[in-house]
This record gives sequence, structure tokens and C-alpha cells, in this order.
Amino acid sequence: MKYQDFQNLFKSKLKMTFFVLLILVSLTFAADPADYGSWQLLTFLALVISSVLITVAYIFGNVASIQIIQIAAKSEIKEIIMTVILVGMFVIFIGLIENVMIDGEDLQTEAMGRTGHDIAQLNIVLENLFGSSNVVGKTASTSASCYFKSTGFSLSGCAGLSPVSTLINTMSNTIFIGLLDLSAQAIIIQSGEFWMLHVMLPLGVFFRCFAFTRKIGGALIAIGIGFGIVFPLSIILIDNILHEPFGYNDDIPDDVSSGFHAISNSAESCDPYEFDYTSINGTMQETLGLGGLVVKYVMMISILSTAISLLLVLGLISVSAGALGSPINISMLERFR
Amino acid sequence: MVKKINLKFIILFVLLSCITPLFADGETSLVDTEEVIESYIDGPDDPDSSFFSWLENWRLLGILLMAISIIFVAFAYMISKSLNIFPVKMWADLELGQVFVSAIILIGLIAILSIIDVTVTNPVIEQMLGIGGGAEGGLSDYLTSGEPGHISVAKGYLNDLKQIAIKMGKGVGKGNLDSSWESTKRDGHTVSIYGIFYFGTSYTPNAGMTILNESNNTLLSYIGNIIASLEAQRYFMEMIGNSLGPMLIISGILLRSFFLTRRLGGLLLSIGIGLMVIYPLTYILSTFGLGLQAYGAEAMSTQPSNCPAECLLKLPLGYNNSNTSQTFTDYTDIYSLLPEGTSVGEADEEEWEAVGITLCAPQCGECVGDCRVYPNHPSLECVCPEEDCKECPPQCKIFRNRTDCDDPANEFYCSPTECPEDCKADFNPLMTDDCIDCIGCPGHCRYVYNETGNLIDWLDCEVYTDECTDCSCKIGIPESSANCEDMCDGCPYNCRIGAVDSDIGCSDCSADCLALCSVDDIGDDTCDSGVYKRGSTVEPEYTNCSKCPIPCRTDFDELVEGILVSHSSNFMTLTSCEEYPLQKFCNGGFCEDSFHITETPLFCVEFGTLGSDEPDIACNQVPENCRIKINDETPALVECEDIGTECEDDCIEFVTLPTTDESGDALDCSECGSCPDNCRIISGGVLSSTCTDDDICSTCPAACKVSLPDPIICNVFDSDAGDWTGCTGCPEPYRLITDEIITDYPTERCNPTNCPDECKVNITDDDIGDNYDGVSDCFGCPLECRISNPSNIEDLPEYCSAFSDVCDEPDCPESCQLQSFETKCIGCTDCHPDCTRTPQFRTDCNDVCNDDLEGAVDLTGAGIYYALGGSEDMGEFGAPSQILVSSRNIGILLLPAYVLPLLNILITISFIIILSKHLGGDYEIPGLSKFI
Repeated sequence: MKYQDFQNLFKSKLKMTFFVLLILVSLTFAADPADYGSWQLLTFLALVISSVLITVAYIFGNVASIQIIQIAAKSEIKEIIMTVILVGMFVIFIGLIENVMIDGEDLQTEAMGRTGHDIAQLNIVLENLFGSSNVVGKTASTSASCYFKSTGFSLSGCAGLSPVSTLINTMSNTIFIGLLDLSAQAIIIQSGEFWMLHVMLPLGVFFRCFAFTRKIGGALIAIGIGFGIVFPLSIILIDNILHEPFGYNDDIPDDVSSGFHAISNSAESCDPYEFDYTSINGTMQETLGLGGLVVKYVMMISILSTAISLLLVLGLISVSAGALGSPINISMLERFR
Repeated sequence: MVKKINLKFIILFVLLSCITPLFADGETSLVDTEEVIESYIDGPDDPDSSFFSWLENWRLLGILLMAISIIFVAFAYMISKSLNIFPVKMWADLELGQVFVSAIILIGLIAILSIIDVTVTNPVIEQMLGIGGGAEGGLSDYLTSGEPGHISVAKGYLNDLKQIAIKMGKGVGKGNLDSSWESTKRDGHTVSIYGIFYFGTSYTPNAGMTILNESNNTLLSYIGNIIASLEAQRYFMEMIGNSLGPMLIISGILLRSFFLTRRLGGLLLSIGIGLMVIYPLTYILSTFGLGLQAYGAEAMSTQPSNCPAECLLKLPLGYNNSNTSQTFTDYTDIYSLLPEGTSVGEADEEEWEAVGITLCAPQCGECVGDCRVYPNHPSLECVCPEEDCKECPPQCKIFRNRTDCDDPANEFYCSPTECPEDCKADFNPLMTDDCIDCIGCPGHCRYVYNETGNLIDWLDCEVYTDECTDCSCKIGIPESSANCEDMCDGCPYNCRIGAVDSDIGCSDCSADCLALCSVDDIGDDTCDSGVYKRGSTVEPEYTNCSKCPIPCRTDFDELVEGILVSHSSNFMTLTSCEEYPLQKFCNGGFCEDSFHITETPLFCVEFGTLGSDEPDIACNQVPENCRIKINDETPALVECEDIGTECEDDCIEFVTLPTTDESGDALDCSECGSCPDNCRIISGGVLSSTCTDDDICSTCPAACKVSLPDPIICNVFDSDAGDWTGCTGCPEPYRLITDEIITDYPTERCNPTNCPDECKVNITDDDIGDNYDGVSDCFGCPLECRISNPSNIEDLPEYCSAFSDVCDEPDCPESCQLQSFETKCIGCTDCHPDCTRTPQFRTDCNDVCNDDLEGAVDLTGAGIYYALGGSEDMGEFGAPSQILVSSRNIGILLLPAYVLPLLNILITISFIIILSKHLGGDYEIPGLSKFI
């Protein structure tokens, strides 16, 4: 290439842009492989690599006078700029949220903390339930017998508590489902931090910079941001929105704790050697009342929270995938719920 | 135009010639194809052979179909040309281009798969093989089956997870049996009266456990679904690799070659590529994604070159029961032991046991990773499941022996003088598995003093005293300089050296200080271990003079000044016995007087050698010729009559005038007449100078005369004489005639030629006791007096001043003296911490290998599952925590079983739609949502 050609090359701003981008190639070698910790850095590296590739293509097109490559490269660089703006906005957005909303904690840590807290709370409920189940089961199964030779009778005055055991088992199942839900939620948050933000998002950004893979790149960005950022964010938001007004901000509601004690006390007061309707009825009433509370509590802190979060995430994935590349059919992802 | 047609003709001709290989004979690659064709037509000889066996050679089949398409188009073109049918010619013209495109796609696809195999999947496979493999039967089986490697990896990953789910299911099933058993147990009492009346009451004590039954039922339902999901994915992956993918690709290539079916062909081809390439890769992406989640950045690191060998040790996967020293870290090795034709499922413990191999994973339970490294680092003991680690066989564990501490050429060399062995912490107890009784005792509270065995009470360890007291895996530590500072406050420095027989001056020393912060010995083997015990009034027993050099056992040192002895190894550097530092050991109880040599050797010094000041000593003033007397009276020489012979008789040579000849006959000396006796002495061939009257003596026969004998010369030792004759070179203490017991006897100087026997004392062994057996450095210096550090010398006991001569250099070199307690172990602080333990083991692998150890990052499905916090068991039976543990395990498996597959499918479908568009295929896939 002659000197005159270089001069021509730098005449247009676009060409200058390409030149600057080409300089960025050095940055791709600047990262220490040990610094995989920052998803922002990885995403930035993906952008730099994409830029370099397109710049090389443009220079090749310019030198070889292949106009179609030059035009394509010009078009692609605009997409890169768009992606840069998009990623930059997200970084700023997340930074704002982390600093304003959750006092400098990162989203995933905060969301994991809240999920862990919820799991611990459900575990306490489960322990209480286990205690009550033992008392009720033991009392309901107690019987007395009296036989003369082979003829006699058997009394089980508290057998009427058996339905209470069934109710307790139902509550246990609900709590178990809630625990499962929260465990899965924790794993998704955890995977969001490492997998979605460190793999999916940079990969999506890289793919989105090229026409051939733009749509799949958009989908990957949408999924990465959806599960890596929006999901933990929605967990925190829902935790704030739903829990506080309902008084489920931190600890197990007092009426849940006291309800288990009431069930145990009521069951223990049942006399197995005579039909104790009052006690059985009292226990049943307590259990029915508590059952509603427990289900509501489990629904609030786990199932509902996760469902709403997923709904938000999937909706956002659908919308942002359309905006970033091509709309994707999220009907299959809805099965997460 | 003409040129164009000619070119096309040439191309078509070349393509047409491609048909010939189909009919080729001999050892060509297409022979297999012919066989395949024949077997397909005639039916398979091998029952396993089928249409799908074709698909294993899908690359070849694709090329074959491409060739057929080309031939078909070529024929069409030739027919149109010969019959001049323009539409057919145009069609063939167009299709030829599409066939080329399809060929390029096929070649590109084969190339991509090969590149993926070589550059992407092989390292993954290698890593997985190194760690534990994944798929049933071992990944090596898949690799040899012609299946693309990345599909094998994906299958392995899914199979691994499925095996975990199955194990979990078995655990839940067993738990369910246990909880059912417990929850239905009844307890009660029955009273019988006369065997007729029976009164009783009964109840179900654990009825509350029905909760567990319920949750177990739910769990089993989930696990069943997870297993089904994972197995379906694995099966689908297998189908993709073996039949569906190749079939779609081949069909797509074939259909895409023709106008009417091009759209369908493009779609099928893109689906085939999507399933064969993208879909399995999404699983590898999932593996790394989950690996990132589990291990962080380490999952993406590569093997460093400077990683020490001990850090690369892999945890054994199993061991040979008949030869327990044979362990396996690679499933390939284990499979190589199987008898031919034997197939064992990778995770099937019982089947492996049946073929004589014990798998480590079932044996070790949750004792994984660094918990299976000997010895457990104290920091790990709080997190390692000690019950499981106790059960884990030694063959399943490794020891990272660190050898560079002993290599002087290595930068981490820790010399024994720098950090003595007794300054090192003893980790030997942790090399055993008998630590079960230590449960509840934190690692940092297991330290005991080597000397007393007492637990060290520090940090919060007082709380754990009960748990730690009976712990058999304590860690012994030597005296610590830091602790000694505290423990020995007020205790004189010297009290900490040597055995203490009494508390003289050491009453302020605590028992701990004396036990832990004292030394029994100083220096190495060249140093004496101390003959005196502190405060002891009992003298050491050396009564046979063994510590006294023989020359110093003489008592004649008073006679001659400058008498020399040899007590050092070089007798040329002689010292006066009086100055001999160990003179004490030549006297009293160390060397009995009876062994002293009291007899004085003879001194007959040469005339005038001692000067005129001492004329009467040792004949100093008597010329040698005058030390001869005739017949005990007369000086032999006339001229000596005036000088006198004040010389001891021992130094006198007495001669008698001859009276008989040699034969004994009487001589006739009458002719000698009046010749004086002393004139009958011939000295130097002539008579005495005063016997001038020759006439008187000339008639005296020669036989009646006598020659003057040599006088006895026993000089005192004179190191400057330069002539050793006359005993000048022989120190007086060595003038002994012995039974050759004197080891450092100066033989040459003291032999009879230079020093006649007359000058020596004749002794026997019994006279002088034991031979001198030498002394070590610092011999005679009490241990407590051997302190060379100036700052502590003032702390020496007063009596040490009496030993200053034997406690100073050169007799007591610095190497045999204690510098200070503070400096004894201080050198260890310059050593790497790993080198300050016994045995030395490496704990810094994570640092030196940049946190990316092979083996530390287990990217198999199982490895990731455990790293994410999953476990195989269900927690403590009967407790509600069992439900918590189970839900966590299921929660972890839900991700790879349900969530990730959907994402993978989503990515694959997106790719298929995009690719299909570019391949000219349909990109609307009707009814797709019904399938997923």
C-alpha cells in the first residue's frame, strides 16, 4: 500500500474508527487468564475481539477492493456500536441498582442471601411441623385394650386425630415443594452469576456483532441478561414488594410458630382412653388454621416469588430477544415455571 | 460461450470419472462400502449389523451420494446435449452449481467436526478421562466407535448425572423403607391376670415420621422424572450421534441437490448440522458453565508447566483387591484389567468388586477432594466429613510428599542446622486414619507438646478439652520460642541446659519451662555431652586415667621446666601439662596416683648446654670425656682430675682396664710398669694429652689399654635444637619404654638411636592404667557453662568460671556451644512452612499451580454436582434436615435435567432456523412446539 493510500484511508471518520478499533487488538492480549472473574471484562473483550475481526475484514476489503466486504464491515461496525451502547447501559443500570438499592452488594449475592434466608425459615417451619407431627401421630395411635380370653375390646380415643396427621403431611409436602423451589431458585441464581454472565452474555455479544449469527447472539444476550441480571433483581424486588407489606420481611410469622405449639399442646391434652371430642376438634381447628397460614407463607416466600420472577424474566427475554436480534419462542422456557 | 461449454464439459467428464472407484477392486477404502452394500442387500452376517451401520460411515455415504447426484446431473446434461433439449440442459447447468455447493457444505461439515474433535473436545475428554470419565463403559469406548468426540462427552456428562440421580433414588428408597419401618413400629404394655384377663395399651412412638414417607414419595417422583429426563437426553444424544444426525445430513444433502426438494433438503441439512454440531456443543457449554458455577475461574484454566509432580497426583479411582498397592487414577487403566468380553458399568460397585476392583467413590462417600489427601491439613479438618474419611481406604488417598526442602540446590532448601529436626511439627499422627475419636475436636486444638503430651491451651481450645483429650490424632509440636519466652520468664538461662539433678539456682523455673524449653544436649556428635550434671556432687568416673594423656601422668614435671605433653591431636603443638586444661583428669579420682609414673628419666646433658647458672644439674658442667671412671674411682682422663666429676653415677661410664684377652687368658701387663691407669685410655687413637711420657707407657701392650667409651647423653628436650640426638628431640614425658600403648608416641625422635634406653623409664601397662582414649570438644565443660551468646553469659552460674579454660575455644568451639534459645528454631522461620513439618508435605499446590490443578477441577457431571454442594446421602435419618438435604440435592439436579436442556434446545433451534435460511431451506418448522 502506498503512502497516498494511507492518506486516503484516514480521510473518512469511519476509517479512523476502524483504525482505532484495530489498535484495540492489543487489549485482547492484555487480560490475564486468571481475571475471568469480571463478566464486564469478558463482555468488553468479546466486543474488542469482534471489532478487531471486523476491522481486519474492512482493511482486507479495502486493500483487495472488494466493495461488498467494505459495505458489510461498515454495517457491522454500527451494530457493534449499538451493542456497546446496550452493554454500557446495562452495566450502568446494574451499577446503579447495586449501589442504590442493595448498598453495594452485587445482585446475585443479595438474591442468594435472601433465598438462603427463606430456605432457613422454611427449615425452621419444617422442624416445628416435625415436632407437632410426632406428638399428633403418637397420640392418635395410642390405644388401650381389654380382653377376657379372646373376647374384648380396644379403645383408641384419639384416633380422630388421624386426619390431623394427614393435614400435617400435606403441609409438609407443601413445605417440601417450597424448599425444592427455593433450592432450584438458588441454583439458577448461582448459575446466572457464573454461567449466564460469564459465558452466555459475552458469547451473545460476540455473536451479535456478525450478521450471520446476529439473531442467535441477540437471543443469548437476552437469556444471559434475563437469568443473570433480571432474575436475581426480580427476586429482590419481589422480596421487598411482597414480604414487607405482609409482614413476612424477616422471620417466621408469630402465628405460624405459635400455631405449632398450639397443635402440640392440644394433641397432648387428648385422653386416648376416652373419646375426647373437644381436644380432637380443637387440634383439628388449630391445624386447619395453621395449614392456611403455612401454605400462604410458603407460597409467599417461595413458589409465588419464583413464579413471578420467572414470568418477568421470560417476558423480558422474549421482548429483548426481539429487540436485539430475532424474537424467540419462549413457550418452551415457560416450562420452567 | 464456447469456452464456457468446454469447461463445463471437462468438469462433467471429471465428475463422471468419479464413478469408476465404485467398481474398483483391491484394498481401497471403498471396498468397505461394497461390503456394506452387499451386506445390506444380502442381509447382515452380524446380527448387530443393520442399516444404521451405514450411518456410522456417514461421511463416506455422503460422498457416495454426492457422487451419485453428480453422475445423475452429468448424465442429464449429456443427454440434453446430445438430444439438444434446452430446458434439461439449463436445469442440469443450474443443478450442477447446487451440487457443488452441497459438496462444499459436506466437506465443510466434515472439516468442522474434525476440528471440533481435535481442538475442542479432545482436551475435555482427556480431562474427563483423567478425572473419572463420564459415560457408561468408559469414554474410550465411545471414542473408538467412530462417534464424534463432543457427542461422547455430552453423553458422558448426562450419564454421570443420571448415575447420581439413580444413586440418590436408591438412597431415598432405602430411607423410605427405614422411615416406614420406624413410623409403623408400635410400643405398648399388656398385663395378664391368671392368663384370662388381658389389659393393655399401645401406641406408635414415631408416627410423626410419616412426614418423611410423604416427602420421600415426592422425592422419588422427582427423581424418577429427573432420571427419565436425563436418560431421554442421553438416548437422544446417542441417537443423534449414531443415526439421526447422519441420516438427516445425508438426506439433506441428497434432497438439497434437486430443485423440487431443495427447501426440505436445506432444512434437513441445517437440522442435521444443528443436532450433530451445535446441540452437543451446547452440552459442553453447559458443562463448562456449571464448572464455572462450581469452581469459578479455575474451570477455564489450563495445565501449567511448573506445577510440581506431587501436585499433579490424582486421587485414585479404585484399587486392585489382590494387589492393594496397585491403584488406578484412570478408568482406562481399570478397564484394561477386565477379562476380555467383560463389561462392567462404571458406577456399579458390586460388579467391580466381583472382578476384584474396589472403587473409591462408594468407599469414601463424601470424603472427596483435599479431604482425601494425607495428612489432612488442620484447616481442612473442620470441613472434612471425618466419618467418611475414616472409612475411606488408604489406597484411595494420596500424600503430596515435598522433597525440595531437602535439596540444597533448591530455593526452598531448609538445612537441618537452620531448622533442626526437633523444631519441626510432628504430623505423623495425621498419617493414619485412626482419628475417629477426634470428632468434635477442632484441628487447631489438637496440638500437644511433644515432651509432656499436654494439650496446648490457646485460642478457644479450653471449650473442647473433653473432646480433644481422648483424641488419638494429636499433632505434636516442639518447644516454641515464643511460648518459651513466656513460660521461662524469671528462669535463669543456664537452668534450661542439661539435665537438672537439683534445683540449685533454678527454683524460679516452672516445670513446663524446664520440660519444654530446655535442651539435653548441645551441638553434634563431635561435642561432648557433658560429664558434669548440674549441681551434682558425684564426679564422673575416669579412675583409670583414660582422660589423662599418658605424658601427663608423670610426676617429673618439677624437675625440668618446659616439659611438654601432647593432649591434642597434633603433638607438635605441645602444651605444658601444667597448662593442660584437663589436668584435673590426671589427678585425684580421675587418675589414681598408683598410675602415675614416679620414676624420673635420666638426664645427662651435654657439657654446658644449660649454661653456667646450673652447674650441678645433670652433669651440665662436666665434659663428656670426664664422665668416665676407671674402676669406680679414677677419672678416665688425666686432665679431668682437676675438673672433678661432680656428676651422678648414672651418667658415669665405668671402665675397667683389661686383664684378660679375648679368649679369656690372663694378660701380661707387667710391661706397663708405672704407666698410670688413666694413661692406658685411648681417646681418638691417642693417649690422653697429659700422658706425655711415652717411655713410661710405650712399653705397655695395646691389649692392656682400653678405648674411651661414648658417654651417656640424655639432654633435656629442646625444640629449637635442630638435632634430635642425645634425646634433644624427645620430650621427657615420652622417654618411656612401654608396651606400645602410647598412641601418639614420637617414635622417630625417641627411638634408641636418638635417645638411648638409658635415658628412659621402663614401665608396663599396669603401671599407668588405661590408655588415653581422647576427649570430645568441650570435654570437661559443664553443659550449662557452654553459652557463647554474650548477652547471656552473665547468666552463667558462678562456678562456670572455674571451667573457663575448657569452655573456651579452641577446646570448646562455638559449634558446641548454645547460641541462645531464641536462635535455635528461628531458622525455621526462613523455611517454607511445608518444610517445618515432619513429614514434609506440600500444601501450596493451589498457589504454585495457579489454582488450576488437574484433579482439583472435576468437570464430570458427578464432579460438578458435588462441587455445587450436592451429596449422595440424605442427611441424618429421621431429622427434618433430611428433607432439606434432599431438596437441595434435587434442586441441583433440576438445573441440568430440566432448565439447561430447554436452553440448549432453544439455542439449537435458533441456529437451525438461521442456517436453514442460508442453505435455502424452510425456516418455518410447523409443529415444532409440539415436540418440545
